[in-house]
Amino acid sequence: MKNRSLSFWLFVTPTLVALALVVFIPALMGIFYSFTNWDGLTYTTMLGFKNYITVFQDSGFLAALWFTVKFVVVTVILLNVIGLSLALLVTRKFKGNNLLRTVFFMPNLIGGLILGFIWQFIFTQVFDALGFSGWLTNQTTGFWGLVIVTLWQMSGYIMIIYIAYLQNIPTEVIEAAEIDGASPWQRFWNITFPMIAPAFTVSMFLTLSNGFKLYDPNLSLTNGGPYKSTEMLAMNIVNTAYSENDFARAEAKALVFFVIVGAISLLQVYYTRKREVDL
Amino acid sequence: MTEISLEHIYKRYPGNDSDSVIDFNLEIADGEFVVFVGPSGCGKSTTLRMIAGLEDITKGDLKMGGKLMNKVHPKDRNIAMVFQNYALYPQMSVFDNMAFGLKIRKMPKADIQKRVNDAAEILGLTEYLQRKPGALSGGQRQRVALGRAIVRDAQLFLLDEPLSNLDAKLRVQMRTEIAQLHQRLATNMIYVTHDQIEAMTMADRIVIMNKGSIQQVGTPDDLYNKPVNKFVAGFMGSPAMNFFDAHLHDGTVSNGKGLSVKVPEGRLKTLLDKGYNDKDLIVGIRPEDIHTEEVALEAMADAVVQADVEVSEFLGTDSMLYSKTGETEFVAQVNARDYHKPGEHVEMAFEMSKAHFFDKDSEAVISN
Repeated sequence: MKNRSLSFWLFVTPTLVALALVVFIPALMGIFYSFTNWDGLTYTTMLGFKNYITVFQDSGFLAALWFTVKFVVVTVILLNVIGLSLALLVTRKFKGNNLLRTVFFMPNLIGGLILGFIWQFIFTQVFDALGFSGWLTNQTTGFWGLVIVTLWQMSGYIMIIYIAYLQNIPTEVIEAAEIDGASPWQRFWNITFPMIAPAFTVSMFLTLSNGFKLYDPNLSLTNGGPYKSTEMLAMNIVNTAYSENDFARAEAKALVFFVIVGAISLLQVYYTRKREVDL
Repeated sequence: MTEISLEHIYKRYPGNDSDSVIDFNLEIADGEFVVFVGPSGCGKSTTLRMIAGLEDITKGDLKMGGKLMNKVHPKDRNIAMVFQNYALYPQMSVFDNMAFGLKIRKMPKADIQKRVNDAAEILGLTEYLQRKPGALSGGQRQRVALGRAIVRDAQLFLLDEPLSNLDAKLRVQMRTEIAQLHQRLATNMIYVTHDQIEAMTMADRIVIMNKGSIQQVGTPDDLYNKPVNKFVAGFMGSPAMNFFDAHLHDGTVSNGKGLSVKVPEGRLKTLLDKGYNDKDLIVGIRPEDIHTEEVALEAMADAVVQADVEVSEFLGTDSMLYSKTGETEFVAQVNARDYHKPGEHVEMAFEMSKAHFFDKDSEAVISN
């Protein structure tokens, strides 16, 4: 470490400075402000853990947390099931599989905000016309609306990850299993599935953290309504800060949120990693 | 165990406008060790994969024990296959790798245990049974792949270039082990390789292929000493046979570029009988049939050339002399005691009684 040359520091410093300016310093400031009565501009007193105590007494926050957890569980499962199924489909040899890959991935190119509005139109107008009226008017349909939009947006992305790993499986291994007498299902379950375990780690992490952090489709699709019943964590935090102008409490919520997401993600990566095999 | 017959087998991949395997005909006797050999892309692996059922047969009949197998699924053909890159299941232990095919076939646990342990014993894998393939060396992995085939007790073993990922020493060792395994199991084995030495050392019969077609089928001795055409003659043997485009006139073959040797009586008669007097033909002579010893020079005085050694390789028992006479280049394999330095001028005798003659246009053999 002592012998780092000048060029090393020349290359590293810009990134380090940028990271410090936009990530480390704001984060530390945020942690500090969460112990005060900061209103976005100034603070007058130190409150200690008071903000944190109110966070856990805030029924809106707890409701948003529960709603988000349910959302994450459902989307993590469905996204991985659908993503893997699509990947298995398009890695088969047939005409048009490349076209299908593009098609499945395309929704991911549309921003979440726009996608939310598009689907809002579909849920309210198109569904209505088809006789499924009342979508997004209660918590249940709002929840499933959000799930559908997320699946629509993310499945293609998760599919790409699974495709990358599926294509890495040597054909000979599958052929060997075929000659060993394994049926297609046995081949998938005994050979393919264990060999794409790393993809599972990656996609699980992505879908998990994305689910927790979801904001823009939430904003454009339901805007938390009706009556905040579909408000997710990120939105709850934003609203605390900008609607209720309680920046200090929002900071406290954000920190709690960060710890939850961080802890779950790390735990998940640790456990799925353990199950992976070295190829 | 079973006879296998391939009758007029063709393979054309979708989208190609030519056949990858053309009119492949072969009868394989019970317990025979057959080697498919040929250069890359000659169709040998494709043929093997058709026998395995991993590729569809475009045209022709594949029969095992008299039964048509074209449409039978690979798992129902009772075959075992060893792949070039081992194709082990990375997440399973050595034991599970070998046991997988048996578990799938719902064999009782005790039987599986016994079979796997027996195979591990034969292959010297007993102490590695609980390891994952990633923790094994290349040679051990290849043994596991063989073990996976052995436990299945299949009627036919297919081996697709199983040794090409191993280093030279290990390859020689595994070659012997596979040959011993074949004697022990007495199962039909079809072995694909591009290495003519592997083919020569292991095969009961060799099938040599080029550009999708069988060139010759025969024992190693047949192929080496009685090649049917220039391709077979050139492919079998290392270093390869020397070929000269020459003209036969007055009992002498000469190429106008410094080579001119007499053809011995008996050989000449065959050539003349077949009408090659005053005609162009190809002369082939193996490096070991070119001599530098005094005795040979005297015995074959009418087939001696004046050569200059350009490169010389010392191989212990032999040395290879890459030489030139006039404009004609050739290799001679001589006893190491007759080592000559590059640049030396050496007299060499062509043992023309062992030469091979090929037609210039068809490249088919005229006389061996």
